Parts: sequence; structure tokens; C-alpha cells
Amino acid sequence: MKNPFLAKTENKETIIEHTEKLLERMEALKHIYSNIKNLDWNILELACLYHDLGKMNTKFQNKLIRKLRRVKEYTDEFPEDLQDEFTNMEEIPHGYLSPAFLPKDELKKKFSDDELRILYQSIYFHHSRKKLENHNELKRIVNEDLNKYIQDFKFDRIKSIEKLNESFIRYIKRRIPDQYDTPETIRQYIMTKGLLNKIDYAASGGIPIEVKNENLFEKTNTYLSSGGFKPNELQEYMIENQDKNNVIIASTGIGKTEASLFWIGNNKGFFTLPLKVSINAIYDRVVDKIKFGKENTGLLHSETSSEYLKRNNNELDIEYYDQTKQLSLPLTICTLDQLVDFIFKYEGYELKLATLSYSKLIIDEIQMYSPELVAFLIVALKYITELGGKFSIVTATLPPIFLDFMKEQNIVFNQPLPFYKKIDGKVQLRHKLKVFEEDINTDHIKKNYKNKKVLIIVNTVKKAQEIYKKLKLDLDNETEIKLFHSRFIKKDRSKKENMILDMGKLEIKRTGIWITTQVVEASLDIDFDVLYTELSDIAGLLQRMGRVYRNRDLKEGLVNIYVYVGKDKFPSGIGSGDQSIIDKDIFELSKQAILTYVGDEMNGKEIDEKVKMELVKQVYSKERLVESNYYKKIKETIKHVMDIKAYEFMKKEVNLRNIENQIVIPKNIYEENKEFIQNNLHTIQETSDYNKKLIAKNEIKEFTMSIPKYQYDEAKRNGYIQGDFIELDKYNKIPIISYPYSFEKGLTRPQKKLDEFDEDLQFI
Amino acid sequence: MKAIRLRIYQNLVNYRKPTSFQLKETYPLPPYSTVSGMIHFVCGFEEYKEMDISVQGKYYSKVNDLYTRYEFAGTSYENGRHNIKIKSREINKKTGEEIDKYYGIIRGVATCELLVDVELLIHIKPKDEELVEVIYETLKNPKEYLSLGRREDIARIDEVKIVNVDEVEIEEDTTLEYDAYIPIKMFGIDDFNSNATVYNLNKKYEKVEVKKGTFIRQWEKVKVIHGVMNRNELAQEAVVYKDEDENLVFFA
Repeated sequence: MKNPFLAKTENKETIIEHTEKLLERMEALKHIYSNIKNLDWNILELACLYHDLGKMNTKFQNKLIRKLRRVKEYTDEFPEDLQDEFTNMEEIPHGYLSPAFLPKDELKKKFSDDELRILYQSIYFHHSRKKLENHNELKRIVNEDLNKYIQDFKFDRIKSIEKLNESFIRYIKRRIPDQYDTPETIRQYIMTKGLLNKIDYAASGGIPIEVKNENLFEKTNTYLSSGGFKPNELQEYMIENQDKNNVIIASTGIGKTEASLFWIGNNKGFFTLPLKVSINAIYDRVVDKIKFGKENTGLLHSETSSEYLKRNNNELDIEYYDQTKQLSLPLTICTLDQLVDFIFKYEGYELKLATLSYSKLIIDEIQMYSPELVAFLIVALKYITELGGKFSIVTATLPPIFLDFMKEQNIVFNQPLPFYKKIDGKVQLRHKLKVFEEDINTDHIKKNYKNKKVLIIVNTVKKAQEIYKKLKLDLDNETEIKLFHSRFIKKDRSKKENMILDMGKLEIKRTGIWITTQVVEASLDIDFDVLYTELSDIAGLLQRMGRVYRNRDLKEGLVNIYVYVGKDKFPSGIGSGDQSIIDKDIFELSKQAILTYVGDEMNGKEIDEKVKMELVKQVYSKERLVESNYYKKIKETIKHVMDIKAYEFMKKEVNLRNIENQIVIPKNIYEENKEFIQNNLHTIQETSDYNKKLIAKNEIKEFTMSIPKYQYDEAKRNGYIQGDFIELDKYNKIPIISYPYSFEKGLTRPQKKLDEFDEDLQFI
Repeated sequence: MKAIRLRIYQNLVNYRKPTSFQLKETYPLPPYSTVSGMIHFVCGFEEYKEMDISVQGKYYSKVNDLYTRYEFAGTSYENGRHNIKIKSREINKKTGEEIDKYYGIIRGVATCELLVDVELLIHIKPKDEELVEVIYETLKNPKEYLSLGRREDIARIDEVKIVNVDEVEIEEDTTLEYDAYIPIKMFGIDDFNSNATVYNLNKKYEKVEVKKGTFIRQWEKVKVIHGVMNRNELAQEAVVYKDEDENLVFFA
């Protein structure tokens, strides 16, 4: 039998057909983004041409032949295997064999040694495979196996291959980046290898390499003018500085999203936000309101598939999903985690970095990130800008120490003065603030709730449940009291979210009290009349204020913000341990700043947008924080990440967040929906339809919630997790937790351990 | 150029790392000074003869063995500290009369690393070419058994031969067939690239007087990579020394 030169079993694709697909995509990329920096297109083309030729080896071909033979329509075509003369040798990965096809002597005349290293290594390492001990077997395969086939391999894009060259370790032994490599070589390698991977994946998945961003700028403009607006000061600035890196502070409600879209313009863009809810919201807005369309917009976070299902009549458009995952859409709304993990330089990290090098990156709500994530982001920005990528940080609150760290890393950016929302030329005033130097309690609320929409935000779920219980006792029949936090199963969580959104609409006249945690801090577009809150830190406080009088001017003399800073002890959730929601030092500084600002104005003090930003500046200044753990954490994390050597990690080992979560299902929910869950589990096991499987999994996940690992461990220790779990698949087992759960209160942690003596139980 | 090629077999051997005490560690191959010392000893050279040496070889495995250690620091015997008491005589400085003096020694067990079934391929090229013949003859007919490493590490000589060594460009990527000491400055970074251990080996010493009447050996060192057989590879076009039977030679 003759060597069929196959590349893939799907459609019996040959090496030549597959290579042609790559070349098409490379041309498309070149056409759409012609000015990609640090890239020699000739080298990339060679890499595409030769990257899979090693697949013509006997063992690889036989593997595909055997697979195809099992498919009925191909059985006759592939009656027998190729003759394998090396039966006691393992297959050598094709990536390691392909470089032998390169016309080494000819290339040496055209390219420098470093350029050849870039070319050879891009091909050699295009899949991450086990390292070869030495090249002795590779040499034999090249000389005695591949050599048999080259006469029969006719591909008009490369001159006929007369001889193979098995000696190429000169170009691959010193893996880039090596200590002797110039930054130029390293950059070129990242681009060549990253783009080869990207092109290869797109070709294999049958999706376009990039979709051109035709008109995001015009669409945004149309949207703005359809509402009767012209670009405002901020938006004008962003239009003028499209080719710069910017750090923008702008007050809420000023049109940051549109400003960001204007800045991205008709380029490839990524829009990152900290919370999935806000990502979903922006995605819907860009697709439906701005009408950029879903063919141009991707949504990327850990639950992309279920969000796509929801928006497409429970059917997953696999191609669209793949395009999103391969980062090939013009605009992708995503979490930071999806992008910046490349800083760990795992095998294959080049792809994301190369993609970002010709993209524009928006970072919103930067103050929401933990010190570790801030450190990761700063390192990522350093790498991205070095390769020519652009970023804009667009945020309502910006701790100035972030900028100090960025400057330390030599990241260049513009920083215009903050943009405030102005009313009649004056900075908008929305809030008047009163501080209680006591622990949060319901005394004042009880006097002040009537005919108002009251929002109470506390730091922990436990505190929220406590306050809820108290108010329910005192005011149950007087007004509507509701509780919302993160310990609700998904299904209930979205219901509650809709309820609070509904109440938060300005045009809804109904009143009531909502008790929540910081889950509402940033994501939800709600407008309440008065806020009672525990202090966390200054940035958080401002975010929380943003939920009250969202876009309204303050009425004369009205106090609408009440802050409890604690008396002898800290507010809930704050301490010196690791689980503290905010660094203790930052809490103290925030408390001082607030107290100093309010001074002895007993009846409250007005606080406008400008003052707010100055308070953040004060608290988060380098001088104040230099001794704090918060500062040290960022500094150490940056150092640690910068010290990582390339290829020390595999991608699956990378974890950006050190807080691990565990998905659980409350026992009573499980009991109530047992049959439904079992039916879905059955579907997962029985069906081979990917779509159906996904839907079934999502149905089950609607009954789950995620809790921090340490809480899960505690529950387990105390006997609340029994042996049962729901097995979605090999990797996803959901434990059942027997904490009480209700739609009203969410998951509550019982006071006692199960095996402890319980007096009530004894008398039943 | 001419050089003497030696093939040696040793059953259990320790090429001691000078700084290892609790456990007598061994280098993977004999360092240059050890080889040089053996040659000087068997040939009866009373002063240093300059020579280039290339050391390659392989061993089957490594074991740890016990040995009896005598620890002697020249101190007077103290009861409870030393378990061996030896008698000597010394002259009392004041009176001038000869008296008894007792030194203490500690005898105990300690551990020693041993390489098992070592095969060595050694090339020696004395600067003075006339010595080639001399060394060849003495190795052919040594006055007593040869040892390399500790005194008891007997070396079985399997071959002594005068060979031609020439500089050549290698025609294809070549995998090392033996472990080898490869001076780190010998190759360009792309001719030979390795992450293997680097040793700073003794080559020769000079006696230096550090204070009146006290001499120390001041060593000239060579930085080498411990090239690993079947793993480290030399790239096509690298320039190397080879002997007439195609063996690689790495002179230092």
C-alpha cells in the first residue's frame, strides 16, 4: 500500500489539504492585521508549510489508517497498514520530525542563526510532547522511514524534497527564551510560534483565524447619536488617543463603556471585567443595543457555554463557541483570568500573548481585584506592551499604588485628569454621608425605612442573615424585606437578582428593604434611596454608594449614606487572618480617612465625585501603604511571577486564584428535585449528543452553588457532607451538603455540630 | 598529533570530591589531577610534566559502603574523647630531656560512595612529544599494579595504544557514547548545549609558601561540564578532536 499522506481522520484530510488551510488563514491574518510587529511573515509561512510534514511517518499514518478502516465508507480504501520496520520503537511525535524536511542549506543563505532557531523551534515545539532523550531514534526514522516516502510526496508549494536533514539540534537545543537571547529574538519567537499555533488550531477547527472588525466605531457612534448624544469629553479623549495606552479615572454614569469601545475602534479588542454578571450584561449591551452583533462579539468566562445556550434557544453553536475560545472574534468580553494566565509561561503560552500583541485591551473596575490579580495584571501589561499591544484602564476608582507599580515596570501610559460627571459645570453631587462609630445595627434603619428603598450592605453572609432575622422580627408586616448574597443556588440567585434589579429601577415606586453582601457592589445596575453599610475599604464603600442615587442629584439636606465603622471591634469579615475580606491596614486607613473627612459634622457631610476619588488616592497612596501587607503582597507577587522560567509549568497547573471554591448542592434542594436531577444524569450518561449533554449538565448546575473550600472542609469535618454526591462526569462530582437552605435565607450555617449534644432533640 | 589512549576497567572505585567528609563522595569520572598523578607515579616523574588529558567513561551504578575511619588531628590524648591512645616521644623544651607523649585517635565507621564497574577511556598528550614513547612503555610494563582513585582502587588496563588525534568538523549531530568531562570553553553555545552539572576540577598544583616553612598546594582548576552519554549531543559542524578510531577527545 502507498503512503496516503494523511493529516487528520476527519474528512480523510491529507497533509497537503491541511497545510493549504493553514496558508489560507495566514493570508487572511496578513490581510486583516498587516502591521503585526516583531514578525517575519516569510518565517511564519515556512513554519506553516513544513510544520506537519513529519506526519508522513509510518507509525502516524498507520494510526490514522486503522481509525479510518473502522469507518465503513473508508474500509475498502485502507485495507492494510503500511509496512513498519521499526516495530519495537515508539512513535516519534511528528513535530520533532517535521524540521528534518526544511531545506537547511538553502535557508542558511537567507536567514541568520537566530532566525533559523525561531523557525526550527516553532515547528519542533508546536505541540508539547515528552522530551526525547536523544536524537538517535529520530535520526533512524528520518533516514530509513521518512526517506522512503519523499519521492512520492508532491506538493507544488515546496520544491521537491530531495534530501532530509536529520541534523538540526544546533537550532533547537538552546530553547528560546534563553539567557543569551536578545529581546528581539524572544519577541519574534513568541509571535511566530504563537501565530503558528493559532493558525493551526483555527485550521483544525475549521474556523476563521480572525474576523475583521468592520465597524465597531461607527456602531458605537450611531448608538450614541440615536440617544441624542454626541461624544463627551471622555469619549473625545479616547477617540483622540486610540493609539496610546491610557489610564482613565471617570465617575460612574459618564459613558465609560462607549468610551472604551470608541478607543478599541475598528481594531481587535478585549474587554475585561471582574464579574461574570457584568460581563454578561456588557455582552448583551454590545450585541443588542450597540448592534455589533454576536457574529462579532464573544463572551468568555468559565461559563461561556451555558450563557451561549441561554441566548440561543438551548442550542450551542459549536463554531461560534470555538471561535470564542480561539479568541478570533473582533471583540471579546471576558474575565481577566481568561487572558493573563500566559504570564506563567506554560507550554503554549505564546498563543495568547501573540494574539494580545495586535489587540487592544480594556480593563474595567480594576479596584475589585485582589492584590495577587493586580500583580498578575501588571506583569501581563508589561509583556503585552513590550510586544506592541495596547491597553486602557478605565475605572471609577483607581488606587494610585497600581500606577507606581506600573511605572516601576517601565510600562508607558497616558494619564489624563479624572473625568467627572458635571451638572451645570459643577461636579455632580449625589451623596451625603453620615458615619456611626458603632457596629452595624437596626436602630436607625427602623426609624428611617418608611417610603424608601433601603439597601443594607454588610461584609459577610452570616452578618446579612443576622440583620435579616432581626428586621424580619421587628418590621415583617410593615414593609417588604429581602435578603441577597452569594450563598444561593444558581436558579434562586438569578431570581433574586431580577427581584433586586426590579426594585432598583427608578421608575418602580414600590419600597422595601434589601439586605445584601458585596455581590451587588459593582455589577448590578440598581438605584436605591438610602444605603446602610459596614465599612470594608474606601474603594468598596464608593462602589456601594454607587448603588444609591445612581444618577440623581442629591436633594438638599438629605442624608442618603450611613456608614458603620465599628466600635471596639472590626465590622464583620475583617481581621488579621487570610480570610479577611480586606487587608486590616487598609481598613484602618479607610476608617481614618472617612472619619477625618466627616470631622465633627454631626448631621452628615456632602461628598461629591471629586472628593471620593481624592479619598481613594489618600488611602491607596504608596507612602501610606508601603508598610502594609497589601503592598508587600503585590510587590512579592510581581517579583515571583517575573522570576518564572519559561516552560516550568503545564497549562493545567496554572491557577490564578488562591481561593479555591467547591461546588455543592443543598440537601433539601436535592431531595425536592431528585427525580429531575436523576433524569438529567441519565441523559448525560446515555446520550452522545454534546448539546444535550451540556443542557443536562446545566440543568443540574442550576441547583448548585459554590462555597469557599475552607467552608466546605469545615462542613465536612462536622459531618454535614455525607458520602453521597452527584457525578456529572469523571472530573465533576458535586457533594450534597446538609446545611439548611431556603429561597428566603440561602444556605445557613448551623450553630452546632451534628454529633454534639442537642437539648431540643432529646425531648422530641 | 600523537597521544596515548588508555582503556581501563575498575570494579569498585571512589574518586573523592575533596570537600566531602561525612560521606566520602565520588566524582563520576576521575578528575584530571588523579589521572595526571597516576601517570607521574608510574613513570617516576619527580617534577611536573605538562600534559593534556581527556577523560571519558561510564559506570554501571553507585553504592555506598562502610569503611573504618581513623580520625587523627595531632592532638594529645584525652580520656573519653579518643578511643585509641598511641605512644610517642618528645623533647621537653625547658629541660631538654626526652619524655613520653601520648596522641589520641578516634576510630569509627563512616560511609564511602563507590562507583561500580567503571570503564574509562583516557587520552594523554604530553607537551613534550618525546614522552609519548616513555609513558607508553611504562604503561605497557608498569613496575607495580596501577591504581586510580584510592590506593586500593586497582585499575585493570585493557588497552594502551599510541593514537593520532586530529581536529575535524563533525558531519552529523552526534550523541555522546561515554560520559565525559568537557571543558566549558571548548564549544560555542549552539555547538554543544547542556544543562548538565559543572565541576571545577583540579588539574595541577604548585607549592606556595604561605608563611615561613609552611607550604600549601595551590591548584589550577578547570571548569568542565559532565557530559552525559546517550543524552548530550554535539551539533553538526561543531569542530572537535577525534582519534584515529573515531573516538571523541576532549583535552583539558
